[in-house]
Amino acid sequence: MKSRRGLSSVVGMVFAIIAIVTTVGYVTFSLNVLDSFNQSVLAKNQMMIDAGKEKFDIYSVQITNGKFNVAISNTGNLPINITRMWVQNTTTNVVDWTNSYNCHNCIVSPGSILKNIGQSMPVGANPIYSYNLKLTTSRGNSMQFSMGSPGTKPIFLQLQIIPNSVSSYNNATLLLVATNNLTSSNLLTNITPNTPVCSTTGGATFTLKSLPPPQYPYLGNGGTVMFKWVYNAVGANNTRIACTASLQNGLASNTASDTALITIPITNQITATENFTNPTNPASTGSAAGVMSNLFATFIPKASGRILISVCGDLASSVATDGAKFDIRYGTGNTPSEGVALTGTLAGTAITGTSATANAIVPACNHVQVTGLTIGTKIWIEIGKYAITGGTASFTNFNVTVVEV
Amino acid sequence: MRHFKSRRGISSAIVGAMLLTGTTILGVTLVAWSHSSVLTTEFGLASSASSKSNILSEYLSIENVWFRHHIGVNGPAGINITISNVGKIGVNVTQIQFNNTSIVYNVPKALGKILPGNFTWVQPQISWHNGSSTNMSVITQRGSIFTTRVTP
Repeated sequence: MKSRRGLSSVVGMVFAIIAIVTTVGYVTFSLNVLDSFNQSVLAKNQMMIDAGKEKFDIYSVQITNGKFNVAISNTGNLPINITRMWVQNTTTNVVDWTNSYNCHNCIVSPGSILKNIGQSMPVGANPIYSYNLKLTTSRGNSMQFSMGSPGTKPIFLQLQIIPNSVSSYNNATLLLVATNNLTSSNLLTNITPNTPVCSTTGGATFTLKSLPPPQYPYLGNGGTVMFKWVYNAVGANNTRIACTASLQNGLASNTASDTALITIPITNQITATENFTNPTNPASTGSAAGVMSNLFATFIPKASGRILISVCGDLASSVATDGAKFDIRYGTGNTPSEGVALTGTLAGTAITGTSATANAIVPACNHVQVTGLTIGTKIWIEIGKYAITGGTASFTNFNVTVVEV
Repeated sequence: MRHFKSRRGISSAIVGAMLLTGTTILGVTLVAWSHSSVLTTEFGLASSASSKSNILSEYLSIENVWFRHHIGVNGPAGINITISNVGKIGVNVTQIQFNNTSIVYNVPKALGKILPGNFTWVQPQISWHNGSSTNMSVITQRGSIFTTRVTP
């Protein structure tokens, strides 16, 4: 009996061990499977988190050497691998196409900038076309934007003529302000302004004096670029200037205009040369009929064509009680030489000075007003000099002042 | 008495042997059954876990959707769809559904297989209208569904 009781215990023990081993094995296997699954969940979560952490922005977009040239900055905490760039031609009336191009070794580390994306891709870019670009990353993120598209939608343009009341013969500045007010993914590239088209009234002129402003390579959303030209305005008072500006690769209807007036300021405008205030003393003359004397004075009317000429100097005659006189003459073209016969247009009357004794000096001034001169046309100013009665008349220390009013 | 004693001993031995045999048979049967059951459960668990793990590891990106007026020069309207495998295991795309199964496009087998890091593109001939957005779902052989909303 003792022996049989022992056998039963052994059998029971064997079964118990089998049951325990099976249970432990199952639990271990289950835990391993659970761990493996958990690893998969963690890996997927990590991928999703990494994908969510990818952050990059457009740094610049240009068309360089006929190819796209995109630069991005990695603003996140993970390295980014740009795998492909998608290009869609969205130009109106141009065959629509979309292609993707692999980007090799396009890895940008956090805080860095990756340049020249597109420069080695077999796709050309036309500055007058508009494109839709999309960059995709190895984690499945993408960034899409339009570029070079001021020709597809109107953008906000402003033109300012500064000042809008410009004095004749003065410069005016034209400022064209272009603002990218398109939606956030629309980037403008290679923005080139047309030279403003200006019209004037009353025969006024508005002449471009500056070089064309350079093109602007890249304008992000909300950005503003300013183009500047300098013009010179010449015209009568209250003549009007109207200018219209546009972009070379913009919509034809997308323009900006402004107007300005040419004004004649209530200030004297004087041109002077060094000969005006201390010209060489004219030669003496014994001519009672009078001859010309070159004072080397010239003047260009700028605004009104109305001038005041003042000529002052010392007169004398070599004979007591005889005298000298001079009048003011002007004209255009070649300046008459010293001593030639009287010519030009006489302005006012002659001023006379009589020497009480021989060679006694008599200061004299002659002021005349001349009107109707052509704006911008140079005139010469001389005197006609005369001897009165006899002797030799001398003319010294002459000053000439011309004032346009 | 000696004879009686002897017969009592034989009976106990027989009963003991029968009990032992019965217990052994029952025990072996029980162990075999439980082992089989555990193995089946383990296999099911392993299979299920592997399947779920693989589904979890599938990660597709619908990289680009291009609505075309004409496929080819004068072909019918269609949609160019590029799908990129950004996960760590190969994926077999079987179907693309539009507008919640109202339009189903079965992806050709040759185009549906995408290795990790690779991409494929398909071009179903489906008519579309400007401005009408729709849900587009990419379905894999393992049952993963990747959905995005597209607007021509």
